[in-house]
Amino acid sequence: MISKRVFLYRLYIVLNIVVIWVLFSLIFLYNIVEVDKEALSTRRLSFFTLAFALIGFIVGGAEAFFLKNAFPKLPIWLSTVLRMTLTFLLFLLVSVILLFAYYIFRYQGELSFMDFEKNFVQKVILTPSFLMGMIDLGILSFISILVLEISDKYGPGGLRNLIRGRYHKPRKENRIFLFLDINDSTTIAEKIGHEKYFNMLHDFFADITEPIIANWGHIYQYVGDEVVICWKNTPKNKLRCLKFVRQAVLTFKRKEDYYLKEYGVAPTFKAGIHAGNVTAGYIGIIKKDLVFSGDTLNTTARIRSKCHELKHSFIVSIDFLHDFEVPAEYHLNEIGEMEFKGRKEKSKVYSLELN
Amino acid sequence: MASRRIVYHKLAVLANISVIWVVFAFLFLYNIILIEKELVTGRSLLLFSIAFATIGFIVSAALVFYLKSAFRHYPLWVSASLKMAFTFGLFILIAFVMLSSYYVFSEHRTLDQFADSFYREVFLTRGFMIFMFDLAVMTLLTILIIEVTDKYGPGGFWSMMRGKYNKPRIENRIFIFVDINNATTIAEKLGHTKYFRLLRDFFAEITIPILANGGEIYQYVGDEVVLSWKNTPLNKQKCFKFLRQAFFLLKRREAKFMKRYGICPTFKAGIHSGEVTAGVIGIVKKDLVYSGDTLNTAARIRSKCHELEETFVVSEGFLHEFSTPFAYKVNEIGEMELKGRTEKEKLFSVIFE
Repeated sequence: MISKRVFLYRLYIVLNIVVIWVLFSLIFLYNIVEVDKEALSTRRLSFFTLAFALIGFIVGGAEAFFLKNAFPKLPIWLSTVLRMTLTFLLFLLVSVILLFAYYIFRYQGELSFMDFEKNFVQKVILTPSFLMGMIDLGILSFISILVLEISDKYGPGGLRNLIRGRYHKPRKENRIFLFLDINDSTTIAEKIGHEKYFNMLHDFFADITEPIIANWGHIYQYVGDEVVICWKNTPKNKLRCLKFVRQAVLTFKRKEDYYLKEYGVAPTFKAGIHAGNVTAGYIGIIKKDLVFSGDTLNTTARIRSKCHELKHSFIVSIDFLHDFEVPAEYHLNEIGEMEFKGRKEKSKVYSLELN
Repeated sequence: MASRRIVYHKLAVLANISVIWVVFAFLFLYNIILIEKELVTGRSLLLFSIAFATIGFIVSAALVFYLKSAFRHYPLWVSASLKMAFTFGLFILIAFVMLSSYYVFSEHRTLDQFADSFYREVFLTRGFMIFMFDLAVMTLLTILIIEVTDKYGPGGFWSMMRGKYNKPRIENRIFIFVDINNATTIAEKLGHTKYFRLLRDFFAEITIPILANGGEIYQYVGDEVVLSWKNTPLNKQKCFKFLRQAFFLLKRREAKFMKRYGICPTFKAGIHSGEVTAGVIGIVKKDLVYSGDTLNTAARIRSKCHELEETFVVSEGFLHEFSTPFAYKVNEIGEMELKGRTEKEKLFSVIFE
């Protein structure tokens, strides 16, 4: 089950990879064209580019949708080699089928598989230009895999923001923040051991990714056992934020059996939600990162720690509820007041019940 | 004042980029060779690769050492095009100088004749244009690689490639939590945007002592930065050295900060060491994460700095099996409760002598 947003996000990466393939096909071809003008006419240039775009789409698509998580436990260089071998076989298969079809439909002579095989091996596979094309393809596949890996490091939209320079000057932004924390993490860690606990953490964050992306959330940071998710502060995103909480709860209810079987414990989580102004920008020279700075974040962290104190799973601040009509399926109860930094009066906090 | 470690780091990036240039030189050239075998012999393949490696080295050296932070405040696409224009100019200059010296000295013609034939025979040919196009793409790739390695931090990219943390590992590490003093007051005084610039300058300044002492920047959490070392006696010394160097570096930069912001940031730090589990977490946003009580304790020690009014606080665990160097004075200042343990952790302050 893959949600539409996740699908679109992956498709977007594949399209970016196709652009890279086309760019390189132009370079490769221009290098050839320059030397031997007669060998390639303009018609073939567009043909060549189209073929590269198609192969890039197939390779990128196979990588992004199927192969990306095929070998999660292996080092990247090893999984890259395996993935490249698979892509190579895929490519070979496609080209054999295409050529075979061409052979059957267009070839006027006698049809025999032996004949085809002889022709195919001699005229296509063993020529130097085929080998050259394979090396080109190999390097481009490698670049595709790297691009996928790197875009995962930046997170959705992160790379684009970097290139567009959205945060090159610090900007003030109004954002919703959600701090999410596993309940009783210390107890669980002690019970099942640190290594197993880390594996559980890994699964937990992997499972929560789906509802985050499906609801347009942006993963800001992992801080220990906590994950910080943010949205731009709009009424639509507030709704998404609440939807995210509901979907995440349901996801873990559904996966309860798996966690119990694997770790002997089913993780639940608590969350603090707040909205306000932050300053966003890049920080660091040798480790550059997008950083949000401001009291809003500290306040959200404090609201999250109130969850434990007040024994409520989800706590929402009054700032989040400002200008927002809460849908009927969510219930909010006032549960107390909290001091916010830089404010004289105490502000109200609410608990969020899903039903 | 670039220390040896920083130069090494930059050289490593440089060597990697040169390798990439050579790989692509082979690729570009093999594509040509295939079509026309007579044109390019084996000798010139070598020559071509060397030429590409040299150009790659010069271009990336210019980028890594001088141009990297030149257009820091522009968007990446603007700074990339500016840098490309600059390297292009650099390349033309080198080509012109080399060719003209060849022309004048070995063929005994005048510079005027040369300039004329330079335009006709080199500059305006299609081969040259294609070559320039190749170079532009390579330069763009270089800029992107530098940017990406910056995101991963030193060594981060290779440990990702090697899959060092694909399976969670238990590691014994030192953690330093560094925090700006009176952050809230400064932020209120300066306004948030200006405060953010101060934060950025502060982190940029302390990068030098971090790199020089082999530290790893783990994470920025709000106004805080978390640094980490492997737990060895040598690295403990480096931690202390880092504190000293960062402290005095900020003192030296005081005039600059005062001029720009009217305030000079100072920092407090909490140091602790112990076992953590390290591994990569996340699907669409992958990150190396250290998890364990050690980090929580280190964070609490940092917050004790404020309570106990000390600048640098270290834990007993850190001082274990470590004889403090002469230039530092360590005093016991109190105790702290630890989560899930009955005995308390002793805390010590660090003072430079």
